Amino acid sequence: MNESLIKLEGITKVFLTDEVETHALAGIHLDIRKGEYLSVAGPSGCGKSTLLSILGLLDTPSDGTYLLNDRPVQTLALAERARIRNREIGFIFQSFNLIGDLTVYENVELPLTYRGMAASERKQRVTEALEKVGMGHRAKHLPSQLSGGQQQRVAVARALAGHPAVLLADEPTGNLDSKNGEAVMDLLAELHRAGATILMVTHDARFARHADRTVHLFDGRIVDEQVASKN
Amino acid sequence: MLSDLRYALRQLAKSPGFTTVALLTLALCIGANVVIFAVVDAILLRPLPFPEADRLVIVTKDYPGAGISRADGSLPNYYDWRTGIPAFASVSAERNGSVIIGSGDAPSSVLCGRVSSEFFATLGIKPALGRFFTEEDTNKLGGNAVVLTDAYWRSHFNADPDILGRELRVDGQNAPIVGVLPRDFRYLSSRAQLYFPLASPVRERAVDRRHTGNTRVIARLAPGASLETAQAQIRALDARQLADDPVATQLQAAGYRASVSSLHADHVRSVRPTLVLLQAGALCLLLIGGVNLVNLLLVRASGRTREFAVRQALGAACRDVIREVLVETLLLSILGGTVGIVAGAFGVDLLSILGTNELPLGAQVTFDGRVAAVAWLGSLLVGAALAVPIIWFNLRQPVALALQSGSRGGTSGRAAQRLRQSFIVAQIALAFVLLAGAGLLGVSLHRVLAVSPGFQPEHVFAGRLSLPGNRYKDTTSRLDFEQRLLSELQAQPGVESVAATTAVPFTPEAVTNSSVVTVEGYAARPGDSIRAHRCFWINGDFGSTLGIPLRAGRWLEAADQSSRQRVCVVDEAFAQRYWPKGDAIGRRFTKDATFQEADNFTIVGVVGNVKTTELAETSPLGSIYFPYRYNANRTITIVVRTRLAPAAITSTLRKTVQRLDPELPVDDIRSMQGYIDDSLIQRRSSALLTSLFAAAALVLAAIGTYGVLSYAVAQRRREFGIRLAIGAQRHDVLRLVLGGGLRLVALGVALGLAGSFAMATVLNTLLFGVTAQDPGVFAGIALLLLAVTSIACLLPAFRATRVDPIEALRAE
Repeated sequence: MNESLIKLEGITKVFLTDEVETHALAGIHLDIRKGEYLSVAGPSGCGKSTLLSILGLLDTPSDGTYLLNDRPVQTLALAERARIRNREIGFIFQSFNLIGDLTVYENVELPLTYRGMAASERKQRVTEALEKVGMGHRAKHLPSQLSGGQQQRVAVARALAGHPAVLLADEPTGNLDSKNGEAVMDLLAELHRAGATILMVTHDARFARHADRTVHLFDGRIVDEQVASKN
Repeated sequence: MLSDLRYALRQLAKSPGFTTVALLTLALCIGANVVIFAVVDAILLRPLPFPEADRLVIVTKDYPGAGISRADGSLPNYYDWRTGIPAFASVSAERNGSVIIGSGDAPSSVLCGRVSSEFFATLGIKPALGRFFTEEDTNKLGGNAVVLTDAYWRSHFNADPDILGRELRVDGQNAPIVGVLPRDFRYLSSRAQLYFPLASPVRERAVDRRHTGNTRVIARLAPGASLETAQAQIRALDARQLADDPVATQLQAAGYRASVSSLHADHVRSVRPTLVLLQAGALCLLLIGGVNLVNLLLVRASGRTREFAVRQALGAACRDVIREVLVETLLLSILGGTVGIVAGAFGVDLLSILGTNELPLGAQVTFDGRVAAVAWLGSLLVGAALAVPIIWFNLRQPVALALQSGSRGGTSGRAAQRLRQSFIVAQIALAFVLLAGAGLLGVSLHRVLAVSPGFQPEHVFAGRLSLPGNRYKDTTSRLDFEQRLLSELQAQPGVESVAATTAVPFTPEAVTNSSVVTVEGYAARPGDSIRAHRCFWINGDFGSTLGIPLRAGRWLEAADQSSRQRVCVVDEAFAQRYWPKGDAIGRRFTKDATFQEADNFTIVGVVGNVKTTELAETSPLGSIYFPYRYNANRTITIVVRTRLAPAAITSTLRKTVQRLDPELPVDDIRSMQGYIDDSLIQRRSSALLTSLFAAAALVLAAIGTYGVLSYAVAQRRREFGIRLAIGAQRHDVLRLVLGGGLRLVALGVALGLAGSFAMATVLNTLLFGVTAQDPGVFAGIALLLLAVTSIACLLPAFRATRVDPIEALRAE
């Protein structure tokens, strides 16, 4: 349980627009252990999404080191980053980001197709993931035929199907009502109990409480860290 | 890949409007290219259908000082070159003609070729049955052997395998059938059904007949020999022969030189610029359509930015994105291409309406596997090209940013907007070039049509007769028949006047019947030389029948056919050249390179200039009208001015001829206007086709401008809402959008103008009465383009003015 999965050392991110420098992240040091459930909280514009993009290899840091499974990944080539995203990382977005023209089944299958996985194995993985989130019966539906909560469940299934090392969730309840939001949080908690490593960005204190640990970001820096009591 | 294909199909089905527009655009543009490519391929690209056709050449002769270019060779040339030019593996001579086949009540006139003994061997053709001609055949006058084409053998002899040795009644004499040609044989554009040996009397092979120019000489280059080597050897031989040539001085003054050129290139030379222009026009249309599609696809891609960002977030590598986009654009191009190819196949059939059959090698224009394969390949290339900007668009933006901007309602970015705008500018520029080309060709055609041919072609019909040599052996018998026929025809009701001639204007014979003359007492100016002039040998009331105005003196009369005085009539161009002060009547000249006191003609009349090859002819060679008896050709054309309907005059002409000679068929009865119309086929077709392309380009440019501006307005709804909220008037917003659109149009027009100027050198060769930089045409095209695209800009601009500020701000 104490083995490090992600290690950020002095990560900075500077955006340059029209000769104006914006420091989105200013020296982030963060350790995430395997099986840990971490939440990142902070006000709008504090750098949460930038941090998540860097962790998800969607963006590169301006400086610092990012070790994933002890391997530095901050300077990898595009193709290798895509490969790691596909195999090691599962994304859960605030607005679900299901592809409207694909069925539930095809959406969950999508990341597996990029691996060149055999159809039979894909089918097994997709079925398994959909069953895990309780959406097996909706496999042939289109996202537009589902409620917001159901769409987010499908998005979770898509993130799980590839058996990633870490789940990155960006405000997963942001577009849901409280009831559906709670249901998704319960689902994440259940996955965590089963051993999944989760990093969740949220500004809702109620949901942050589900995590083992919460780090607070402000102006691109970690300004506070709280560990949940185990009782 | 299959899932990509399924997804692409689903995407296309989901947007029927986009898919329909895209498929129609592709079908239109690819279809137009298929049609033009089928013509270009058949005429310009495919080798002639003979073995090692690239070794086939033709020798032509130029006399620039005398105003003659690319003249045919002669029989003496043929005999000299077949032994004296080592670069030639074999040399052949060839002439066209017609013969009367059969006898009794149903004689028919059949087109034939008269060829030297090596003709078919030079082409690399072997007989399907029997043999071809021997040297002995070509030395024998009369009772000629005949070789049948496959079509004639099948239609007239039911493909009888025992045909050899049977005889065909040719011009009243029996000719033994010695061979049958292979089924697919066709010599260039010839419509000959029969072939005879090119038999010639010895006097026709004499030195003084070297420059008679009435025989095409073709050759097959020896293995490894080049055109240049052959040309150098011919010129060296010519230089040696000048030593004993009686007209050496005149030839040198005329700048005589022989040229060896590819038989294929020479045959299609006249249509090459037009076809290249049309193919360029069709490609330009394809480019405009492609740009339109790219813009539509970019707009669609903007709506799918987040989808591609999500795919990449889930692990799609660049190659996955490339594959997904490629599958979609290739699917679109294959579907659109298929519709275009099918439409193009029908279009190729419709081309005959425009007269493509009359073009050199035009009869070979067809839609076949090769054209289809090129069209498929082209469609795939179009699909791949369409994918490039879309792939760039999908990969250019950092995934993280794309995911965020998608969720936060961001725009598609300035770069994409600039790309779409630059495509609009390019599209308008290309449309301008096409419209300008079509406009110039249209004005040119209009100006050509306004040109008078120099005679009055209305109500004039011409029919051709070929008098059999065995029954009309000499001038007297031919003249006698002609006189009786003209008298009989003149007496027919509805016939106003009638004449006979060896050629009528706007026929190939009018060009080939040219000759140099030497005028008594005329001293050529320095640098000038003897000139060739068109020659017509006429009988009857030729001037009134064709409606050629008399300027001075008189026309030829019936008595001139028998008078001892050798007289002729010349046109104004001829008179002006030799007697600019206007005293041509009574002057004498010889139809030869030297003046002969015993063999000259006296001018008795000067008549108006007549166009002989096309209405656009600008520097007339000068024409001479001689009495028929001085060149009593067996092939004559009867010209009739009449108020009768075409069917009635055809019947009258045939019946009258039949009454006088039941074995004499009349063929090719046509109106003179028909001959003039045929001479305009290239101009008319190119003007019509480029106009169609230009109209399509204009529509595409308008749709493209509308599409991009509409999208830009939708993207800027919030901006317009803010502007209106802080006090902008509706007309301010209208001006903003319209101004932006019109700036793109103006830039496109400016670039199009520059492109049109660059095209000037290509176009100038095809224009008449208008230059390729005509400011009037360019201004008109610019106004048309501005008017149409302004309407396309106005619609989205009005939509922008109707934005509700509260709604727009709330929506964001």
